[in-house]
Order: sequence, then structure tokens, then C-alpha cells
Amino acid sequence: MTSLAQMPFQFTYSTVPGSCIRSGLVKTATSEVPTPALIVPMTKGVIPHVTYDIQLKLPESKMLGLLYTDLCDLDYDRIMRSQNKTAREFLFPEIIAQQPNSLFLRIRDPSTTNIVGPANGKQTAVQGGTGKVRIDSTSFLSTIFRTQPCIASLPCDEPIVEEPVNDPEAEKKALKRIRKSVMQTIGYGDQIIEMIKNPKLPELLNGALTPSDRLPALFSVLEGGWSIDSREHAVKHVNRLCDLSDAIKGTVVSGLDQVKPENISAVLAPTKVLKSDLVRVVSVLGTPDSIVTCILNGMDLFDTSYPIQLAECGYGLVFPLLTDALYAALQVGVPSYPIPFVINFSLPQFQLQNTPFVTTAKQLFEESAELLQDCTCPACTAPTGASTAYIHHLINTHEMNAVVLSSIHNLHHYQAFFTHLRAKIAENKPDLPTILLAYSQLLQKARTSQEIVMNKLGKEYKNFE
Amino acid sequence: MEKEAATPALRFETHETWNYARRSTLTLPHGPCRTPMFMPVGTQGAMKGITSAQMVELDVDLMLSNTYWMNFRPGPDVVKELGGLHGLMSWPKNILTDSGGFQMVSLLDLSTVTEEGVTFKSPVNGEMTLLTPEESISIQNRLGADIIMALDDVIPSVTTGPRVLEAQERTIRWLDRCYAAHSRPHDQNLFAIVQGGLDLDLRRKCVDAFLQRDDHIPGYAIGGLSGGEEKDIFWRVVANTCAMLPPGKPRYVMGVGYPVDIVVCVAVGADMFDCVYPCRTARFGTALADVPGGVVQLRSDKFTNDQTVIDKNCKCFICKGGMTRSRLHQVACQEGGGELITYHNIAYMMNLTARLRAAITNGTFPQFVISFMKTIFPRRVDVPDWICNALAYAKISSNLLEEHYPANEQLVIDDSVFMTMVKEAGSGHIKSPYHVKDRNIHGFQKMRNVVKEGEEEGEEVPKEKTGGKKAKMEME
Ligand SMILES: [Zn+2]
Ligand SMILES: [Zn+2]
Repeated sequence: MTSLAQMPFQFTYSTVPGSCIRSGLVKTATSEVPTPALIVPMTKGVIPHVTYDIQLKLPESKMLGLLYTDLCDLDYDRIMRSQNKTAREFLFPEIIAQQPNSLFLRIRDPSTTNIVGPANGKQTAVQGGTGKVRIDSTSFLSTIFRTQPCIASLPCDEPIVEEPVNDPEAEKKALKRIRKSVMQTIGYGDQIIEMIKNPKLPELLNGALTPSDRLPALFSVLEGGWSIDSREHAVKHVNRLCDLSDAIKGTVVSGLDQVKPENISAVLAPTKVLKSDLVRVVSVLGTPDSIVTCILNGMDLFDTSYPIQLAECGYGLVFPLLTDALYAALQVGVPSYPIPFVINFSLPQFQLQNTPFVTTAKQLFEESAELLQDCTCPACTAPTGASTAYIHHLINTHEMNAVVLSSIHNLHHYQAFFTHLRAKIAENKPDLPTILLAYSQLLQKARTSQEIVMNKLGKEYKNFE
Repeated sequence: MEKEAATPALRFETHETWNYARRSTLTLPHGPCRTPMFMPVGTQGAMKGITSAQMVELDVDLMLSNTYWMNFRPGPDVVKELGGLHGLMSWPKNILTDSGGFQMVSLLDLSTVTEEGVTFKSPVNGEMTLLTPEESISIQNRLGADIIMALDDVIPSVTTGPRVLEAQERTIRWLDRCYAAHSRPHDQNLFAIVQGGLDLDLRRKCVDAFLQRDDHIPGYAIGGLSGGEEKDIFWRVVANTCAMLPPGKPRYVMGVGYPVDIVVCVAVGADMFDCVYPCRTARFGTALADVPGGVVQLRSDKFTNDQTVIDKNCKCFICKGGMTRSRLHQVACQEGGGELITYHNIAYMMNLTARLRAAITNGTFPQFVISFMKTIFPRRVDVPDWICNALAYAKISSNLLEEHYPANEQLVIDDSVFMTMVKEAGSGHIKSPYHVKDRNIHGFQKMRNVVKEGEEEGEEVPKEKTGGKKAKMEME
């Protein structure tokens, strides 16, 4: 084998002059995804709580996040190969397989801390549904060749390292761990690049690679936690990996969830010197305000399960989308009146609130009513559209449909959030960067003004040392 | 000639019949229901994992909701203020609520039945609560379902002795109190429930009493079954009770949900069925299908690499869309995605009743029933006696085994199946691996589920034998 055939992958983009904001188009073999966009998370190949018939009604689901361990558990990557099916063909019924969508394979589960270590220079370990899965270059490449996702993000070492406050000793230790994670992650990348260049790759993979297999677009992972130095370091290495191989088509900026919201721009600053034609994915971090901040810093795709997690914790998203009305309002400045972010369905006051979620929000936040748009999602649309009171009832009676309906709504709301952002970026008015900054501030203000208890999001501090 | 409808809220037209089987349209305030009809159960105002919009797409004409639970949360006054159950759930089609009495059987230890009503301990707040016929109807009037059920004195179907007579007589007295209390006959249909256990004389007495009141009874239910009785008695009670009931009114067999049972009940004249079985069993990875035994237990390792779909005749997006058993094994064995199997199972039930209706219309009903039974019970040895007896009564086949199974049938069709066959001790009788349960037990499942709310049930646990006396047969 002389050189490995690559899957079709193309990224075109343009940058808004005088800013880092980008709008682009990711073209894979199976879909075209305009950016910025949401990567829709899946568990076991299903969007959590959203069956395929409903997914069909969410046509913005063009890039789907697939968990590496969902393929490895119970040896399903081998089963797919034995059935001569790609992951897409195996996992989806026709109604979804016929839709334009692409699989984005990654190690990190955006809904939980699944990278469990211990990691060493050769392998990393993640928690799968049926136990711990060790990943090294051989097993990783074997799985992606067998299952043929459009994009595969490379293995990484991603510890949860919180930023110490006024504790130089702890900070030194934390920084050491972050640097180690950067180097190990780059090390995995180097090993994989070396391996795909090795003419003996088919033998090395012991039959997992067949002549018709193509190499998915590889996305290297950019670690560095909250340390700007480490991020700069990581960026240099990601660029170096790109020089080594044209298989690297993008980078996943990971670990931003450990960065204080006000520091996100500073931590992202080093990415300005990333090779510009790399698709930039932000992983895990998912609040809308931080997403807008990341867009202002040149990020393209967002791999998060935040809307689903909110649904699982009993919240329905109602924050304002970047409509003409909101754009005009922001030109004057961030409004001083309260802006709704979520409906907390559990509140007793909603027992008799027989209105759609957005109408409920309009009634509660009268001043901002004209900034809110009625929802057209499959959960809200009449004649079967759910009311706030219904979700309240379902939560009270522990009926899973509470989560089903609010997941559909929240996912739709997030997709609409991106659609509106893209439309405004496309309009490209001179004040766009200022407006996006104000939008991010408005969203942060709205989010922090409501108490949101993410019961299922308890952060676990895991010491890898 | 059709009789004048008992209430303006219901119209029942029978279009075609095949002996006892009939295809009808039951028109209720929220639209027509095509019978024979399966009614999925959304206990607390929701089907587990399936939205109201999906239920509409699945062609469901009527959904059940449990009065017992809605009475506690959110309570009938709240539901009324939200526009009834239809308003709460945004469900544009019909709803049926039960009386709330059925659940009490499960709480017998905690409940006492007197002439006034049933007193039981609320599982929500632990308080002793009295449910009278008047209160049951008042609650159901506020919930606003299209069909509501009279409170009856429910006893487990295997009960014997004077308690059966007492329950049957009390049910009649309570029925009068229910009708007297009913405040919405113009838009809610109050069905009477025929009781009498497994004793056909008692059933007859109950029906006779109801027939005197037939003018204001829009429809009839057959209650007190699916509680552990032998199948061969079960179908006879259904068949004989159906024969006693007036032809112009719908007949609802409560708590019946196994596909085979539904086919038999339709053949002997029943129209409506409800059961939690298709949904509950889905959560344990069991999919319903036209296959030997009627189910595909997707958690079994034998499906790891099975590239066929659950049921090739199913029109749901899972089967039609080519999602393999291999893929669904992955779903069934792990958390997440369980809604897919629930969706298929409801689609299967809706498809089964649609096929029954089409067969009655086309005059191919007996052919359909026989081919269905031969699919579920592929060999002579698999066919339970009660199926043969019921199909003889229904004039579908006077001798199913002789007429439709080869006489010198080769027993070993499939090695693995043969290997799992066991000789029943003493009888010299080979027990088929495809035998469905000999007893109706999901009624008890349902009840136990109520006691342990929120807890997942294991698969069917056979109820121990009780010395129920054989039904006196009233074959014509
Ligand atoms: Zn919505
Ligand atoms: Zn199906």
C-alpha cells in the first residue's frame, strides 16, 4: 500500500473582517454542515430521549457526535465489519441513513467525565458502558477503519484540573498535570500519524484495514486546561502534526469547561495562530453565552450535550435567539430588564400554566416578551404541543416523557440558536462583533440570573497521578 | 337495525361481521375509533417514552389513563382546570379512564370494601381514603375522558365462593349509583362492567341486570379477567359474555393484551382491548413479532449478529427502515434507546388490529386467524388446547390440529428448538418452547406494579395455582 485513501472532506470558510468570527461549510461524504453549528450528541447511536422519527423533524441534525466506547462495547465495531456495514449503515434506520448527516467520532463524552486514565505515553483509558476501554494507536485505527465515521477525533488525555485560588503549590502541581496532558495527547497524535504513514499498516492492524477502507478526517485534540502557556504549547504541536500529515483536518479545543467564563477569550487567544484551514471544534463547553464567546474567537463546531442535560434536570430553554428584533435592541446596548433563560418546570407555580413554554416565559418576563419567539419544535407544535403544566405534571409523576419532550424542545432551541447566529454572521453588518459581544453578555446575564441546579452534572475531580 | 344510541356521546356502527367477529366504528366525542381496537395505557397521562404526537402517527384512536393515579397527582380539579385530560396531555383523540377500583385489588391488604365504597390507604400520602361510586364518577367527570368506567367491586379472577356473588351483586347496585352521579352523559360515556368471576351463571345474572338498564348504558366491559385464570376458562367467559351482550353496543375486554389473546377475543366477538404488556415488555428488550412464540427477546445473545429486522411485515420506521436485531440487541442490552422497542411494539399492536379489521372486511378472517396461529405456533406440538377449543367455538376450524397441521409432523424442525423442549413430568407430553403462558397473568403484573410505583418489574412471574372451579360451559 503506497498511500492511504482519505474520505472526502472539505472545509471552506471566510472570516468577518476586523474580527475572528468565521462562517464556513464542512463538506463530508454524507453531509454539508454550515458553521458555526452544533454537533448533536448521541448515546448508543441515538440522540438521548429523541427517537429517529423525531430526529427527522430536526433537520439541522447534520453532524452527529458518536462515542468511541459505544462502538467498542460488546465488540460492535467487529460486528459491523462482519456485516460489511459502516457505523452509519449499522446504527441508523433508513429514514436517518438517507438524511444528510455525518458521524463525528470522539473519545470524550460531552455529557460526563468518561476519560478515566491512568494514561501513559502509549494508551489512554475511558469508561464505557460495559467497563473500562483502553485505547492505543492500534485499537483506535482498527475501530475507525472498521466503522468509517466521517470524522474521528484523536485519543486524548483529559484530566479535570481545577484552577487553584491563591495556592502557588497547588497551582504548580495543577500546571504540571495540564502540561503532561498536553504532551500525552500530542504523543498519541504523533503515534497515529506515524502509524498511518507506515507502509506496513495493514499488517500492523492485523486485518482491520481492508483495501476499500478510507481514512476518516482526523481531528487532533488541543488540551491545555485554563493555562494560556499550555494552550500556546499545544497549538504549536497541533500545527506541527498538520505539517506531518494532511490527514489532520481539524482540531478539538477540549477542556474549556474547566476555564472560568471570563477567561475563555484569553485561553482561546493562542488558537489565533492555529493553521486557519483547520475546523475548530469546541468540546463539552456548552452554555450559549460561552458559545457566542467562542464564535467571537473563531470557533466553528460545538460538541456539547448541554441542552439535553438541561432537559434531564427539568429545564426548558427559552432564551432569546438573535432575531432582527434582538439585534436592533442590542444595538442600543444590553437591555436592563430581566431576560428569561430557562423555564424551571418543577416550580409549583406552573401546575396550572397551560401554555407553551415560550408563552409562559413571555408572561413571566413581560418586558422581554417581544424578544422571544414562539417555538416550532415537534414538542411544542399544536395539536399535540406540550404545555408547561404538562411537563410539570410529568416531572411530578416521574414520567420519562418530561425529559423526552424537553429534550426535543431544547435541542430544537439550540439548533435555532445556531441558525440565527449564522444568518446574522452572513448579513455581516459592521457592528456584528459588538453585537455578538453584547449577545454573549445578555445570555450570561440571563443564565446567571436564574438558579439552575444541574443535578446530573456533579463534577468529579479525578486525580490521575 | 341499530338501536338508538344510549347517549348522544357515542355512535356504534358495525360494518361487517364474520360469525362472532365484527368490524365497527365507535364514534366518540374526540373522533372515530376503528374496532377491533387496541388501546395503549398511559398510566399517568403519558406513554412511557412515546409522545402524544407519535401516538397520533401510530394511528392510535384511543388512549387509556388511570383515574387512580390522576386522582392523586395532579388531582381532578387541577386536570379540570387545564381542560381535562385532553387539555393536560394535548391529546386530540379519545381517552378512556378506569374507575380507580381495579388498582385497589392490589391493595386488598390495605383496603376494605363496604356497601358505601372502598377504603384504602393512599400510596402517595398514606391517608385512608374512601372511594365511593359517586366519588369515582365525580373524579372521572372532572378528568373528562370520552369513556369512563363504573366503579365495580373487583376481586381477583381466581376468587371462589360467596365473595364472587357478593361482588357481582354489589357491582349492580354500584352501577345504579354511578349513573345517578354521572353529570356529563352528553359528552362522556359511562360503561358498565360485567362481573361474576369465572362463573357463567353469575355473569349471566349480571348481564340480565344490566340489560334492564340498557337504555342508558352506552357500552359494556368484561371485567375480572386477566388475573391468573386458566386460558381455557378465560376465553369461554369472554365468548359467553359477548354472546349475552346486545349486538349494538361495544364490548371491551379489560386488561387483555397478548396478541394471541386479542385474536381469540376478536374471534368470539369482543371489540376493545387494553394492556400495559406491549410497553412494559419492551423495556425488558422484548419485541412483539409474527414469529414462533410471538416475541423476539432482543437481549438474548443469539441476536448479536442477527441481520434481520424484528418483524419484516411491520411498517414502523425501525423495521421498515432496516434496523437489524443485531443493532437492537445493542440497544436492548444497554441504557438508552429503549423507546425504540416500545415504539415498535405499539406499532405492532396497531398493525395487528388493522389486519384483523381488514380480514373481517375482506371476508378472509378465518384464513388470517389460522395463518396467524400457524406463525405463532408453527408445529402441532406448539398449539395450546385452548386455542383449538376457542377456534372451534368461533367456527374458524372445528379441529385446528387435524385441519391445518400435518398429521405425522416432523418434530425436529430446528435442532436448537428441539433441544430446549422438555417433557412435562408424568404427562409424557412435550412442552413446546413456543407455548405462551397457560394463564392470564398480566392483570396481576399491573396490580403489583401499582403497589411498587416507579419500580421496574421483572418479567412475568407465574401465579401459583389456585383451586378455581371450572366454569360451567354454556356452549350452544
Ligand atoms: Zn419547543
Ligand atoms: Zn416495527
